[in-house]
Amino acid sequence: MAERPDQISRLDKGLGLLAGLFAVAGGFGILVLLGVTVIAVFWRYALNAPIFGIEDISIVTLTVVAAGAVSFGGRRGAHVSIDLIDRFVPARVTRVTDTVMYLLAAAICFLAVYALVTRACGIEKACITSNLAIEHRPFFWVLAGALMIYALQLAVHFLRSVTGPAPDEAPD
Amino acid sequence: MDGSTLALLGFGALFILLFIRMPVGVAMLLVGTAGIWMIREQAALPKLAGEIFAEASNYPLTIIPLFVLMGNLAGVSGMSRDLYDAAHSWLGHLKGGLASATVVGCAGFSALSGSSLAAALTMGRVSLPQMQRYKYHDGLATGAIAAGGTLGILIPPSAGFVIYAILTEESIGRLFMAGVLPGLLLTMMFILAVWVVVSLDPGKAPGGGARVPAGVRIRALGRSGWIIGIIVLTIGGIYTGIFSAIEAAGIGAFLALLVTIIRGKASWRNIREVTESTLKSSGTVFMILFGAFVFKTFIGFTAVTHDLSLWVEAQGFSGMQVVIAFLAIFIILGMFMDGFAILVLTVPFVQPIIEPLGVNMIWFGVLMVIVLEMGLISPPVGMNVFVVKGIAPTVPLGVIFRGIWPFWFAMLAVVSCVLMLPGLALLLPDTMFGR
Repeated sequence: MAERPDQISRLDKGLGLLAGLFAVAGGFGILVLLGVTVIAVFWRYALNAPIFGIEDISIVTLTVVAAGAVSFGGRRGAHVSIDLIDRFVPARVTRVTDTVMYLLAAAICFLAVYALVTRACGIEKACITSNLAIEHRPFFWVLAGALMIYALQLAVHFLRSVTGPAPDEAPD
Repeated sequence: MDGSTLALLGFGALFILLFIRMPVGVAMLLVGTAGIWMIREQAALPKLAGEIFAEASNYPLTIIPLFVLMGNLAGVSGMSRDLYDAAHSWLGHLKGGLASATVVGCAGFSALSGSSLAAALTMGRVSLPQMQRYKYHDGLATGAIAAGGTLGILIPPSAGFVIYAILTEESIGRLFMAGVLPGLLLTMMFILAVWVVVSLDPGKAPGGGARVPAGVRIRALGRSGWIIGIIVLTIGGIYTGIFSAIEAAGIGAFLALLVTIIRGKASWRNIREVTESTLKSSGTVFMILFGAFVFKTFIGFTAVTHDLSLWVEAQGFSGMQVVIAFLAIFIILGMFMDGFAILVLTVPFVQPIIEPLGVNMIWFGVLMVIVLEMGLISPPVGMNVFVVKGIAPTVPLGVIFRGIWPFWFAMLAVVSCVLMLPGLALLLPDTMFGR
């Protein structure tokens, strides 16, 4: 049991690395999105020759950006929550509510991962972009990967909440 | 169990989850999926996967990372500082001029960034030391920053408008244009609020320095030419129909990147900071939207909005009465909840009720965003106030909140004006796109 915190830390570190990789992909995606938009504008207005299917490139790139943003945002605690409870209840209670919250949050994120992997592309023929026929399925998986990292991050918080030291209740 | 009861239980569960600090998007995913499962079991997983993918690949949402990137680049390239310096040199010598310059700086920065928090943080870092140097009252100084920052979600580009547009299926360009005049009016009202505060108690703004020579003022304006040029190009481009809102975001971000490179600010550290910040802000929006659309589907399945709209119709309420009632509810919710959370939680409910009453959803969007701005500075959880507190750690929260009241009432005045004169919001979009 004494080794558990170290294992959690190792898992946490690994997740940091994975979220970082997603962030790199997301950052690169933002650059591509920028380039594609500028090129599309230039070709359309300066050369009067709209590029066929360029919107499809933007759409699939946006998916990568969204995946990178969600996993990196999860890692950095950017997802908005409402911090009111600690005004009303002592730390020992928020520790319990936090534990429940992390468990439920991790569960729904794992379920979303399962849904993205197993239920990607409900209607086979509609599973491609409208112009360039880029298949959607890999991008469902990218999103599943991002949410898996976030789900694991929440699971780490849950484990820390369960195994961590009791909160110092003196200030209450 | 009938749909309305299930929807009510869903809302109850959602508020409990939000209360125990579950991230808003995740809480909506959870309740939405559970609710759909209870109504139509076989639809739950396909809807969960489908809605997440649909939002992640929603083309109009391209605008979010690009405009956030543009705002972040404006910060690191020094363009936001130029803007404040220009406003300072032109307004600084006036009564409460430094606070007014802060408001104008925030308005300008808001035209480049869709985030209120970014506007308050960026302008606050620049303007607060100046106001403290000239012995401005802490309440006035921090209040001006917190309130000025709220212009970020009203003056286009606005993340709030993008989310509202996606939820209501309205045009982003039309909403952006609808925010321009109320945004300018609110800027003027904030300046008026500063003037009133300082007129009543001149000790709150003892001085702002001597009048700056005309040559210096013109040079300061010239230095801010980059940022003004980008604002004119992007907003002007949308207004004249040259660019779509998405194209304007791309061009604006590209120009901001060029300025950053030209000014030698494109260091590895800055680029990394900008990318991380852009990803974090975009991630916040995407996660909320994932949850919002699953939750919206659940609400749709319950048909509770249909029941509610029938009830409202039976009571004989007018559109205006219902709008005012909803705005009052949003003001109260804004005291406890994040603006985006209110937006995604309530719009799926509100739209089916007010649309059949003939309420213009663009006009309502502007009103809603201003009211959400009020929430950003309302006690006890006004987000902008905590941003300002981060910049001014020595100023007590109570002083900041007291300093905010004049600006809060200025917002209420603008809400009243837009309520009575819908043309304030609708003039530009109607001129541009037709009715």
